[in-house]
Amino acid sequence: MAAIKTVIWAAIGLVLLTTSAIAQIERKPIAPEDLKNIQDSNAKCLECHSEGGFDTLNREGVDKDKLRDHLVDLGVYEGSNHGRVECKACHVKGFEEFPHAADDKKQINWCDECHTRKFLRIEMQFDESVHAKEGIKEKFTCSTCHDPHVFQAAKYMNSPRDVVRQDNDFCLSCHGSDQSFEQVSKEARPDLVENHEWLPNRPLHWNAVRCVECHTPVSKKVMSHEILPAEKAEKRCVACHSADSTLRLRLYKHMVSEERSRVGFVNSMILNEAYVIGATRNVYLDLALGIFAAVVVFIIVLHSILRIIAAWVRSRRNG
Amino acid sequence: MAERAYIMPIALRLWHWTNALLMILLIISGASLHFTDPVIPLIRFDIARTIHNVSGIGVSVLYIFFAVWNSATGSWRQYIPELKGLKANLDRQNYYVFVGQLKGDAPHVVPTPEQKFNAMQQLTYIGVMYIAMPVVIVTGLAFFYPELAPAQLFGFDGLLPIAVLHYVAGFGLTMFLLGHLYMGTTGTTVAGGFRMMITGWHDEHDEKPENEQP
Repeated sequence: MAAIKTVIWAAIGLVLLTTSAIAQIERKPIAPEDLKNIQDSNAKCLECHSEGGFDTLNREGVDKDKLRDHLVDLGVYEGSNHGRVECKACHVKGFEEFPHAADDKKQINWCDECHTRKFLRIEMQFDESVHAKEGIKEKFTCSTCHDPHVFQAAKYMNSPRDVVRQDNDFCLSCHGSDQSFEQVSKEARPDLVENHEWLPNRPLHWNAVRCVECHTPVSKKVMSHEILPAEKAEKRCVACHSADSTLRLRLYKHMVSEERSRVGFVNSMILNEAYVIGATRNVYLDLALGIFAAVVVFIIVLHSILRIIAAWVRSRRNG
Repeated sequence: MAERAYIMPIALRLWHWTNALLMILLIISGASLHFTDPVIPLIRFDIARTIHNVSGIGVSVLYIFFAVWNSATGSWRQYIPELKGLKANLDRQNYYVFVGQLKGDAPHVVPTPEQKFNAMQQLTYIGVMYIAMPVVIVTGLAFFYPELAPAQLFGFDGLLPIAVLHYVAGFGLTMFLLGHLYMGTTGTTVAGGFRMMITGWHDEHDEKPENEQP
């Protein structure tokens, strides 16, 4: 009976220890009145620039074919990193009136207006990337990959799977479509399946990690924007499949600081999402089995010695 | 004049040594995959993975041979210990291993074609062949289809229990291999057991021992 109780309590303890969610990093708080002002201001833009507004729009001088390409999903936008930013913060003067100014695109505040320091670092990395070196640098802006109305930074996302889905979609928006690829490159679109034939359990890897885990150099600060070509990309399995996994500096970077060793697992924040051979070992189990192995070897060695001594004694006794 | 008994047919010996080779490959490659170290790898991860997968499939196929052979020939009965007097038989076996053997006594159980195992071997081989091997094979094959594992279990990836079972059962088999190799040296001569597994002949029948199995 006591043994059953112990097992039940051990199971409960294990569940409690292992089911605690990893805390999501909170965004900076915003005063409710400021938020309301932003939402009211944005609502004016969305009268035309949303699916609902577009459908009911009957405004003279509106080119609906053109407008269709400039719709914003409010739900997605508010969940994005810029979700609490006023439209007019980026779409400045020329957008305040309708019709918008003829040169309205020139009046957009680009990313570097706010993200100046980050932009300088990223631009240096990007200049080294395959996209810049292939001579198609001018085809890329930040928003080629990071749609500012949609993009979420990994640190604010709940699940690494969501980060993987979002970030891989950036790459696949060109690398998964001949039509989009043709718009940025004259080369034939690389066959991703053929190029990744060396990668075991390919679908599993593609769902569990991002293209950039292998196609960027390891950076101890933020993810590098130096996208590496196939020949320079990481191909050593142990880069991820080891206790010192580089996933700690990449996909799980924002969780490492939250990590507390859970029932002895190395890289337990990874184990929450994926069992990664070599990277998610349990030190207690390894230690227990190691001690067991040592005892077995000790018994064998001891028995061997006793046999040798016994045989020697017997041979002496028998003359 | 020593009596000799042919107790290990060629098919059995081939099965045994192929199993042994594959198990050694599995242990080394398995350890390389588990204790990965980018600086000093035992075997490089991708090579270890291929070795482990191929050997694992090989061992699984051999296990099917074992299961079919055992049921077809009734050899499975050799693994079932006689419950009556089991404790006494185990005590006698342990006494022989830890005392009698050191005194130079002859083994009291000698293998015959009908009954190759003593009580201790029977219990060990039941654990090895009917518990640890099926566990390690089923969990190993499950690794070929990781997408079928539950997404989460107790807040961890659903593959974790499969991985832990595979690791523990694989470790158990590794310990068995160590013990098995050592016990192979404890016949009348150090090399006798190994010679028997190569030639098929057991040549210690001149001791006229009293078999514990009827």
